[in-house]
Formats: sequence, C-alpha cells, structure tokens
Amino acid sequence: MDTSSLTVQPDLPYALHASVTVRPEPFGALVYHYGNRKLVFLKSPRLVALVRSLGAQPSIDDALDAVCVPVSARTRYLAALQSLLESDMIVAGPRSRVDPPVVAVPTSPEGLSYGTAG
Amino acid sequence: MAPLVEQLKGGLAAPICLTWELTYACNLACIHCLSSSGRRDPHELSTEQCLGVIDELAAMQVFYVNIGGGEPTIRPDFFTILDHSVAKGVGAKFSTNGSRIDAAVARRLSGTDYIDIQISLDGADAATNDAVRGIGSYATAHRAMDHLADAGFGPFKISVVMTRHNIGQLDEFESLAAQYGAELRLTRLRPAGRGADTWDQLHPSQADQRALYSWLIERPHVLTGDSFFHLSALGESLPGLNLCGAGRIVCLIDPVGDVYACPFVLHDEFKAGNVLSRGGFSQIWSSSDLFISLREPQSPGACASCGSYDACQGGCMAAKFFTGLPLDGPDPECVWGNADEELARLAAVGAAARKPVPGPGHSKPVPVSIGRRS
Repeated sequence: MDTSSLTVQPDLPYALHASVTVRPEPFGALVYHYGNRKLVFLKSPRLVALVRSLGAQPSIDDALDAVCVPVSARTRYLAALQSLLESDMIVAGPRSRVDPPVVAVPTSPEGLSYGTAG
Repeated sequence: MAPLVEQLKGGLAAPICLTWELTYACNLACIHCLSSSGRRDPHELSTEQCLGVIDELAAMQVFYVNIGGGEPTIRPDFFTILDHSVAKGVGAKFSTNGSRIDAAVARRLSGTDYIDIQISLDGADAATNDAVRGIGSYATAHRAMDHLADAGFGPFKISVVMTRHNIGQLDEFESLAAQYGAELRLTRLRPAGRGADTWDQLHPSQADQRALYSWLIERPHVLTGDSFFHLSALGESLPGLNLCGAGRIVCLIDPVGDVYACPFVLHDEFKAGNVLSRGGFSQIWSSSDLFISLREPQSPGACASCGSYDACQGGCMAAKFFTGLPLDGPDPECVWGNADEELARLAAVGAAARKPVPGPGHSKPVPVSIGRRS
C-alpha cells in the first residue's frame, strides 16, 4: 500500500467516509463507522465542525480557516484528522465513496479517544 | 472541559448501543442466564411494536443494537426485525446458541451487511461447556460455526462467559477462534438471573482473575465489551472506557419492552419505564428518574480511601446489588479482596437469604446444586 495516502495532506480535499455517521453529543460528537465498526469521540465542538466541513472545502487548510482554527492550534487538529484518516473515518477526495482497506486503530491523540465497539 | 470519562458519566444524547432481549423463550436453560430465560412471556412485544422501537432507535441515531434473549432466533419474526434494523441504519449484533443456524440461515446472514453474530460457548470442550449450557449445546454451537464458516460469513464472534471452570482454557478458546477466523469475546459472569443462584460455584477465584488480567493485557484485540474494568485495579487499564455505562451509555430493553439500566440488572429497582409508554424509549433515556440519578456523581463510599478507585470505579453495580453489597462500596470480586469481609458478614448473619431476587422470573426449573430462593 502507498503509505503516503495515510498521511493527511493539508492542501488536499478530504471527506467523511460514506459509511460514517456523526451524532452530536454535549461534549462534541460520536463518530461511528458502519463498515469497520469503529467508534471515535470528537471531544470539541470545533473539531466536529471541522470534520463536518471537510467535504465542502477544497482542502484541509480551507476547512481549518472556515471553522476559525487558530494557527497555533493547527498541529493538534491535523493530528486529530490524521487519526481519523488512519481509522478510515475520513478519506482523501471530496465526498469519496471509495472503500479503502481497514487499518489498525491508532493510539489516541489529543482531542480524540476510542471506545470499544465490541 | 471536563475529561471525557466525566462527560460520559453525565450521560449521552442516546445510548452508544443497547441490549435488546427479544424473547424470554429459549431452548436451553443455562445455569448462569442473566434473564432466567426459558418460557416466552405472553406479553412480549409484537412484530409491529418491535419495528416501532427500531424506528425510534434510528431517529435517536443509536449506532447498533445487541440483540439477545432468550434465544432471539426462536422468534418467527426474527429476520423481519433484523432486516428492518439494518434497513434503518441501526447495526445489529445478535447473540445465539446457534441452534437455528443451519446452512440456509448461515447463507442468508452472510448476504447482509451490518450484522454481527456472537455464538455463545462457555467451555473449550463439551464437558466444560455443557455443564453450564446443557447437554449437546457444545456440538450445536460448533455446527453453527461450521455453517457460518462454510457460508463465508466472515469473522463472527465466539462469546465466552468466564467462570472458574473455563478460565484455564483461554489459550484453547484463542486457538478455536483462530481456527474459524473468528473474534474472541470474553465477558464477565454476573450474579443476575439464574446467575444469582450459581455465582458461588462459578465465579473466578482471585488467582483466576489475575491470570485473566495478564492474558487480556497481552491481547488488546480480544473483545470484552468493557466487562472487566474492575480488573484495571491490578495495574494498566484494559482497553475500553473502563466505567459503568448503566443508564449513561448503555441500557437494556427486555422482551416486554421494559427498560433497565443495563443487561445485568433485571430488577424493579433498576427499571426505568416501558417503551410502550407515552414518550417511548427516547423519553425514558432522556428523562427517567432512574437514569438521571445514575448520571449524577456517584459516591465512592467505602472505596474512597483505596488507591485503585480511579482505575476500577468501584466495579459493577449489578454484581454488588445481587450479592447484597452496598452500591457505594467494593465489587464482590474486588481484586484487593475489599469486599470479602462484608460478604463474610452477610453470610454469617444469613443475609444471603435476603439478597435481592432477580426478576422477572421467567425461568423454567433447572437442576442447580444450590437451592432456589423464594
């Protein structure tokens, strides 16, 4: 597999995987992937807004601008998106319907943590 | 912002998943059955009512439902309910003893997305399994697994309730799962339903618990349904949320539509309402007195002075309740033995006879070696 596809590129478009659903919660949102049965907690409303806006923006950078993520916090948000990419919650390309291979659950970066959907 | 665990203790907008026991009917009479299943209850939800429950779960964006029983596949409308759930975007996992999974059913299940299957097996050999689940149940489970494998279902789950009799077979269970390309799921025995009567004979010893903990720490891929968080007191936390999710992130709907805080507390004290009442399930979830009280900060009680409280959270509410222990104290299987004194005191004063009797009593008589309580 081309491992570069598993590293988020801030200048490229991404979108939620077609099998993913986002449920609002008081702390942010729960994201569930019906394909690989993974569950992720998005622990801030701004991260939720970012994830939701991805598919409508030409790049991650534009999405970060759209939801007003300060430059000083971008590394943290990119790490969260990286984790979402590795768990297949987001995929490269706008509104992509491709179904890339399931990848291992990554360790939890700041702003994210995992429950066991088992 | 408060840490995630604190947020979760305050409850979610909807359950992450919930357990739904479709029927109390079962062709087996396992001696640890949480719901004392055997006979169908004449008031079980109709097909139409079940489909209505699914519509409500879908509207609340409940991601998936754990369907159990009894033996859920006994219901003639089992596939109608399952198909409706999948069609509405509520993933379905169901637990079965495998008795209805023949070649045709296995093929049908293999053709549907968003369905997970858990085959219950409580021993790696027939003698160990059948002592708990009944004569012939080991062979039945294997037949079902063979059918699922032949039909190319993919990785189903082998679900094992850990007892002192099978905890020495962990490696055999692992090999069995590997042989079928299945996932292994281990869950904790609870003293609920008929399990209240057999707890003393079946629950693992302290040495067993330590062995299980070490085994699980080395195998984070083994599923546990967050069952063994009381063992996290032994050191590093096991994978999962490590908290009691009752009324906060999980709950149970029983075959007649009664909603309980979790699958292990089928007792009036933990009944929050009925899905057929006005407002339905969503109102029970959001505003029942019971669920609201479970989401309030819980007192560590007698565990306050123990350095492990943050790790184990005092253990399982249901295990405490049905062994007669206070809810704000240690779990009966506290790894430091902090409940032993109180358990001994309860036994000495004969308080065991006044332990809560699990409801709602759908069991048919089964031969267990200690007396049934009235």
